[in-house]
Formats: sequence, structure tokens, C-alpha cells
Amino acid sequence: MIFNISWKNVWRNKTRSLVVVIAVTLGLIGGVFSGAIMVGMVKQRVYTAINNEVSHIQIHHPDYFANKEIQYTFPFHEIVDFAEQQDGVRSIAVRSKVMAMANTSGNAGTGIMVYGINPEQEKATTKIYNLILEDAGTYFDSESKLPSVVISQKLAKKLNVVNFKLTDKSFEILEKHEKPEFIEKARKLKDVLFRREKDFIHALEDSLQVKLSQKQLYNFTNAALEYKLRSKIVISFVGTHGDLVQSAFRISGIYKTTNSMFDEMNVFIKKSELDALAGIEANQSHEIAILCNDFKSSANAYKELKAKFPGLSVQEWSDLQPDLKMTTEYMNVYFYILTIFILLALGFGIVNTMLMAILERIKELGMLMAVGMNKVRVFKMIMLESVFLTITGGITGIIISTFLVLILGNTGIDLRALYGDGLEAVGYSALIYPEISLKYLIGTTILVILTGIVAAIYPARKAVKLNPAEAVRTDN
Amino acid sequence: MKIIDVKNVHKIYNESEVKVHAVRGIDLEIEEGEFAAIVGPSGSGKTTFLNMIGGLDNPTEGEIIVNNTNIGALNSSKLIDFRLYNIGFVFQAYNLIPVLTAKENVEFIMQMQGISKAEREKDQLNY
Amino acid sequence: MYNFIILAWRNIWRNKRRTIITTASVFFAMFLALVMRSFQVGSYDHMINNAVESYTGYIQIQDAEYWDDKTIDKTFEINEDLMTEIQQNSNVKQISPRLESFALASSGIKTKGVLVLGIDPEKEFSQVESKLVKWRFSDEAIARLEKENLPEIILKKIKELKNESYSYPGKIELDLELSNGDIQKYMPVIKTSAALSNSYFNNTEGVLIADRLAKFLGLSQNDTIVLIEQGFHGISAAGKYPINGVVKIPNPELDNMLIYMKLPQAQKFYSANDRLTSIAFNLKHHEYKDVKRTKHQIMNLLDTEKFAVKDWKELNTELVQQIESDNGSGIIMIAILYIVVAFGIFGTVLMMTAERRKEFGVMIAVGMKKWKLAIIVTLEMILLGFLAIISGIVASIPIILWYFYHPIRLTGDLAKTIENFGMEAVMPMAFQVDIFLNQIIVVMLLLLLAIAYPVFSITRIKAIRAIKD
Repeated sequence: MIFNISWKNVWRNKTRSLVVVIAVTLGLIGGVFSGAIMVGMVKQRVYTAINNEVSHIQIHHPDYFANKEIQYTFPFHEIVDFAEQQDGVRSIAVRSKVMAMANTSGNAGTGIMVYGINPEQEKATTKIYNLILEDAGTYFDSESKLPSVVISQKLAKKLNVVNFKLTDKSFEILEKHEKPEFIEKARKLKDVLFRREKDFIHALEDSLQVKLSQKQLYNFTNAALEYKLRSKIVISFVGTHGDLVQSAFRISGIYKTTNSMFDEMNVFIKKSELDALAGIEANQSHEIAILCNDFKSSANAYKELKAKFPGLSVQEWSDLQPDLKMTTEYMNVYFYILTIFILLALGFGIVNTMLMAILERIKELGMLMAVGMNKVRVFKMIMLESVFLTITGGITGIIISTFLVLILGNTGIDLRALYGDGLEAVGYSALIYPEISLKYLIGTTILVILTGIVAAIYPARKAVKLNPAEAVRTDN
Repeated sequence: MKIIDVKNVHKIYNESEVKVHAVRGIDLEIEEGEFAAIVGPSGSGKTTFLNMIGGLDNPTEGEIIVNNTNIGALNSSKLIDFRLYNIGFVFQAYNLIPVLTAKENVEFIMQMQGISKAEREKDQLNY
Repeated sequence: MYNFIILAWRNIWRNKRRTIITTASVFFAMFLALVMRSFQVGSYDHMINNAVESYTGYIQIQDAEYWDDKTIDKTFEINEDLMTEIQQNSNVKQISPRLESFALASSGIKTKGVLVLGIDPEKEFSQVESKLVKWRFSDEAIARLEKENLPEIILKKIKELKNESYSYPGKIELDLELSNGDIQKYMPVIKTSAALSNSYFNNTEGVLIADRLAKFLGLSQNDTIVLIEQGFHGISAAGKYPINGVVKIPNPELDNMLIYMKLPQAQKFYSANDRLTSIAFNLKHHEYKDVKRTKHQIMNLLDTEKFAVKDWKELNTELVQQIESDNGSGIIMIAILYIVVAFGIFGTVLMMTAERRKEFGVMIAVGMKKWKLAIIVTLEMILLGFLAIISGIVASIPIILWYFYHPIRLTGDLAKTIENFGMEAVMPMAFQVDIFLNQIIVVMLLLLLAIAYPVFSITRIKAIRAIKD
């Protein structure tokens, strides 16, 4: 019955209650949605780190990490066999790795890390083969006289193996993002080849007669980007016998991850070719990367491998990228702190509202206590009113934000034009997919209820302290 | 049987420096089933006296025994319970719980008294 | 007007509780906003200063095509007169000419790609000299330290840090996780025992080498390093250089590949006589508007076909984006807080006007003009706002000032990650007037917005009906 009374009491003053409910709703939408964005970004980072960069477990020669020197290889067959037997191990990739310099004609060397891989193993272990860009070649599927190399878009730009040309296809893509009149003016440049981004942008701004915004620049350059596939790259490094090795490769494909630091440094060639050039024996490797089904099986496999091969350096993804683990942990703390602050701010408003609600009902409260409603029941009634207020707003807020998250979690929030470079420089994608877990929603609901309870304490105490005899005689 | 037995009851209000001696030594006995009215000019202390009998207030001096219970000695929590089970008020102003219907108002008190739902239904209809 | 203010002031204290709670809610949001923004702006400034003052400078002059093609082919020449003219700009604190490019370094059979930075030791503002290694936990140093009375844990950590080099004591304190007490007691003896003899450029036309690179190549002071310039068509230049000193670069990647050379030598090595890849500027006033003004003044002195002048935002686009996205998220958080508080105020004022309906009715009936009444109520809320603002500022200033002068020193993994980016692991607090001004303006605007409707409703009161209730 008290539930009934409390609920109806809340709506006696519809305006006042509605204001509070709307405030709680808005506050929660803000909190839950921001939290969802953060969660989405971090989860995406962890996913790409594990699927493109470090996998779950990596094994190296114990001295390898200091300077990544070429002589620190180890035989891999025994380890691969043992690892394959562990539960939950999905795939294993064996690699040679060498620090090298890359040159193209018209460009003086840049430092890179060359991965010597087995394409089939790699396809099972990392997603890089999937990240080959459109019209940007294949992952080791093309045939050529020279051996193939797969490089990143960032490196391709750096090495000048890109052109800028607006083709029909470019205009098709542009139509989705820019106004037609705008695009019409750019048609003057159709099929004109530009070797430099700077020249392309100049010509573009000339024919459009405006200074382009960052977003427009982003859209146009991306649409016009063309790769000089089949270009030749010379890779130089010092082999295992101390000799300078230089060899030419053809670009077979161009990939792009959301981590531009990774992209800038790493190129992929076949292990057999790297081994032959560098003088590495076929049964040796620099690195074994292992992908597992989930974090639990990776933890298990890690333990087993570490125990079985004490002479090697066995590391988990959290050792290889310690800030990843840290970020995931901080994320929880951050989310709850944000929610608590918002609820605190709301709390003030709720206390005020409840106080007003009580002060205008002094006579009624006195009467209730006169007819025998004891203090506990009065307290409970007021507390319930407060909780109903917060919960109504809370549930509305949660429903709306869950809706928002579901929709935007599907389409994604595209901030690449504005923040792409900056975020990708630290490994975060600027195409954000917000995500919220049931755990957080439940936690938030509990906090909302707690806010209602805590905010009601002061007003309820005031009500309970009333003297029924005097209260009943109030003139209000 | 004496349902209300009041002996030498005084009530002194000590607000500010002025002491107000509202009720000065009343004795009263009311039998079960009896009907009584308390009349007097405005400010004579009727409400104060009734409040004390009704268990809304404690006397400064004296004894009030209602239904064989010395309610003058009860603290405010016990008084509330006493009122719930023993006393019914009809106030000057029209004091129902606004958000409930008349029937629900009656039901509410019965629910607080712990009467089962079935009995409540029966009794309410009678009213 | 004065009477109105007195009336308004007395009115808000009629309902003490409500006034205090409403003020408290605004105070809370404002306090939080001030502290959080000061922290955020503090870290941004820290990151920017770090990037700018340790490397890029506030402005750089480059060859017009250098930015798109950062190779040794895109160097420029600048004559003395032009240099003097540029130097005379009132905002210029220091200009540092530089020639930088890649090369292959070798010692024995070991080779490695390195970044050669040709600098003018007297004119270089990026404090290369301060990065000289002053202490190292070499085997001899550890042997010496074992004889001192150091606690077991500290000695153990020192042994784990064998061969680590340090250019400033703060990093030692961080790595050894020393408390303030420990620092006072043990740092002097640690510093003495681990001291390393080292020197800056001298007259032998030698180079400075980064610490990790030196260890990899097995080189130390007075050894010789071979540098080979590697072009697309093969080797084009080679040189042998004595090592004058070792520097410790915070960023481990850079620490593995940096070589500092005197400018004339670098120019000779790359066959780029009298040519530079960039001139970097340190400025006296570095508010962005001053930077831009100086940049345009410099541009006016130069042929813009041949030269490009870039400011630090253009030189650090990624950093700028990172800051902007973080800034944006901070602003959104505060916005949410303020919106919530604004609703609270709206509700409070709405109810308050409803409560005082009768009182207002009476006042209007006896002749108070409605708009005057509206002004009084508005004043009441403005005074409340002032109370909240002042208390928010008064409460936040001690905290902001304290952390401004004593930045929070981070520890643990977080600190190490930050140090790896080349930054000091602190969370600095900014103390800037415009942070305060911004919040004050926002709060006042929000207040006015929140009370707009309720106050407007006062003008619609029909006196008779109001009194009747």
C-alpha cells in the first residue's frame, strides 16, 4: 500500500516531478552514452592490438628484445608442436624479423621492420590480410618476377608510391559525402594525374575556388588516392654473416590498420625469401605468435608454454603492450566515476524537490502520524517517493541511451576526418562503435536507486521529526 | 469499565521565556460506551487536553490511562503504535490521504494494523 | 536598484535550506569543472611544451617542398643578412639552424640505421647539453654502492637497472620508486657513486651519441663511430667520428638512433654545404596569437615560393588532434554536469514562484509593477549564482594553486609509459585566468537560461486569482 501511496504522491505535482525526471534522464543519457563511447574505443583498441599486432602470446629468443638483432633466432618446430596441443590455441604463426631500410626511386631510405611470414599461417593468426585496401592489390596472391612485399598505406605515402587522380569511381564515392555542385567543379580535374598530395590539393582548391575544410580534404584525397602497385622497393639490411644485403621487391598489396605507428614500421614478405637473403636457416625463427580462442585459454597456454620452455622468452599480450591492460582497467573506474559525479549533481536537485514536497504536506504528514503511521513507515514512504523519481528518470534514460548505442553502435560514429590522424597515431580508430554491457547498465541502475535513497535521507528525517500535534494544526 | 482515566493532568508549554500553563490539573473518568463532549471558550486548552488523551502529546504532570495503558509514560514511537490500534481521529479539516480513494483510506489503516486482506475486504464493504 | 538588491538578498535567505542546497549544487558543478579543466589544460600545455621545447620549436622555416618529402634533397640556403633580420624580430628568443637526415652507423660488424641531427651547439634551444648522461649504474658503480648502507630493496632495484643511464635525478627517483624520505637520505650517495664522466661537444669535431645506440654498438666516450650515408643508388658518403659524449633521450626509440653532430660537419657529410633542413624558433611570447603574428612577420621576410614557414600546430598535427579530441570529451562531460544542475535550478525556481504566488499577487495588487517583480526574482537568482561562483572559486583556488606549484608525480606503469613518450611523468595543473572566466560566464548564462521561463511566468500573474488561492 505504501508503494501505491508513494507512487501517487510523486505525481501530485506533475511539473515538479517531470523536471526532476527529465534531468535524471538527460544526465543518464549523457553518462551512459559517454561511457559507451569509451568502452567501444577501448574494446576496439584491444581487438585490433591482439588481432593485428601482438596476438595473445609471443615467443622469442631471450636476448632478442634488447636490440632485435638478427642472430637471435631459435628452432621453432618443437614449440609449434607443443603449442598446437594446448586447449584453446587457434593458430600459430612463425616469423623471421629483420630491421631494415626501405628505398624507392626518388626517396632516401626510411627505417622499417621486415616480417618474413608464411601467408597461410598469417591469415589464420592476424587480420592484416583482410585489411588490404580496395584497389590496392592482394595479400601475396599476385605473381611476379621479383618477390612480393605487402606494405601499409602510411608507408606507401611516405615512399611516394601513391598518385592522386580523380576517376569516375572517385566521383561515385564523393557523391556520398559532398554536394553535387561542388563535385561538378572538380570534374575539371578528372583523370589528371598528380604525383604529390600538395599539387593535387592546390589544383583542387584552384578549380573549386575555395579553401577546403579538413573534412573535405580528407574526403577528396581519400577518393583520389591511387597506388602505384607493382612499384619496386629496395630493402637493405645486414644479414647474419655481417654482410650488407640489398634486394628489390614488388608491392603486391597495401594494407591499413587503425594504428599508424604499426603501419609506418611494418612490411611483410615471405619467410622463405627473407631467410634466403639473410642467411637464416629454415628451421629457425625470430618470433612465434599464437592466437587463442579467448583470454582464458590464452592465460592457460601462456602458463604451459612458459613452464615447458624456460630458456625462451614467452610473453603475453599484456606484457607486450602493458598500457593496453592499464587502459581496460582505468575504463571501469572512469565510467563509474563519471556516473557518480552526474548522480551527485542530480542529488542536490532531488533533495531540494523532496524537501519542498514534504514542507507542503506537513499537515498531511502530521495526520498520518496521528492516526498511527509509525516513523519507519513514514521514512519508507518518503524514501520510496524519491526512489520512484530517480528510477523513472533512470529507466527512461537507460532505455533511450541503449537505443542510441544500439543504433550508433551499428553505423559507427565517424570522426576520422577530424581526429583520424591523431587517434590512429596512438592506435585508436576514429570510427567509433559505442558499446554498453549489461553489467554496466545494472551497475548504473543500482547507483540510480542509491542516489534516490541517499537524497531522501535528509528530507525523510525532517518529516519523521515532526510533532503530529503541531503539524496537524499548521496553516501551511 | 473506565476506558479513559485522567488524574491531575497538567500541560505547561515552555516556549520562549513565557511559560504557558495550558491545562491545570484535570481529573476525568469516561466509561466504556459513554459519549462525552468537551466544550469551552477559545484558548481554554481543549485541543491541548484532547491531544493528550489521544496520545498525540505527553502531559507535563499527571497520569493518563487509556484502555488500561498509561500512555503518559510512552515515548513517541510507542504512542504512534498505540494510536494505530486504539484511537481513531476525526479532524476538524477534512483529512484523508489525498491520493487514495475513501475506500483505500480505510484499507490503509487496516493494512498498517496488520489485518489480512480477506478481513479487510469484508470490513471495508461494511463501511 | 540598490533597494532591489537588498530585497533580493533578504528574500533568498528566507528559505535558508533551499538557498543553501541550490547554491551547493552549482558550487559542486563549478568546483569540479574548474579543477578538471585546470588539470586538462595543464596536461595539454605540458605535452605541447614538451614537443615544442624539446624538438620542433614554435616555428620552423623549411624548404617549400621539405614537408612532403623529408629528404636531404630538399634543403635550403639562407644568407647572413636574412638571418640577422629574422633574429631581430622582437618575439624571437633563439633560432636554431639544423640539418637532419638518416644514415647507417657502424662499429665492428654491427650496423644500425640512425638519425643524424646537425646542430649549432651554441644556438640549439632543445637543451641537448642537459641530456648528457650524468649517472650510470655500471658494474663499477654497483660495486661502489654495495659498500654504502643502502636498504636491501633499493640495492636490489639498482641491480635490476644495471647499465641504465640517467641525465636527470628525477628519473632515478622514479625508477627506484624512492619516497621523499628516501630521496633525501640516499640520493646524494647514489649520485656520487654512479657519476659518469661525460662531456659536450669539444674541438675534436666529434659527435654525441644516444645512450641505447651507444650500448648496442658497444661504444663509449672517445671511441670512433663510422657513419655511412645510404642513398637509393648505393653508398654516397662515409665518415669516421670520435664520440665526445653520450646523451640519454627519454623516448626509447629515439634513444636507439640519435646522433648529434656539429652543423658544419653534418653539412660536409651530406655534401650539403651551407644548407639546412630547418630553422627552429624558440619564442618569448608563445600564446598562439603571438606565434601566428611572428610567423607572418617571418613569412613577409622570405620568398614564399622557396620557403615554407610552419607553426607548432602544423608541425605537430597529430598531437593537436589528440589534444582536441580529449578537450572535446572533457567539455562534453562538464556540459552534462551543468545541464543537470541547470534543470535543478529550473525546477527550484519554478516551484519557488509557484509557492510565492500569493505573495506576488499581493505585491502586484498594491502597485508593484510586474517587471520590477521579475527583476527582483532574477536578482535573487543572480545573487545565488554569485554566491555559488565565489564559493566555487574560493574552494578551488587553494587546490589548483597547490598542484600548480607541486604537480602530482605519477608512479608505476603509467609513469613509465609517459616517460617513454619523452615527457616528465607529472600531472600538472594550469592556473589560467581564462579557465575561471569561462566557467563564470557559462554558469551565469546557464542561470539566466534556467530562470527565464519561471521569471517570465511572473509577468503573466493575474493578481486577483493569485491572492484568492
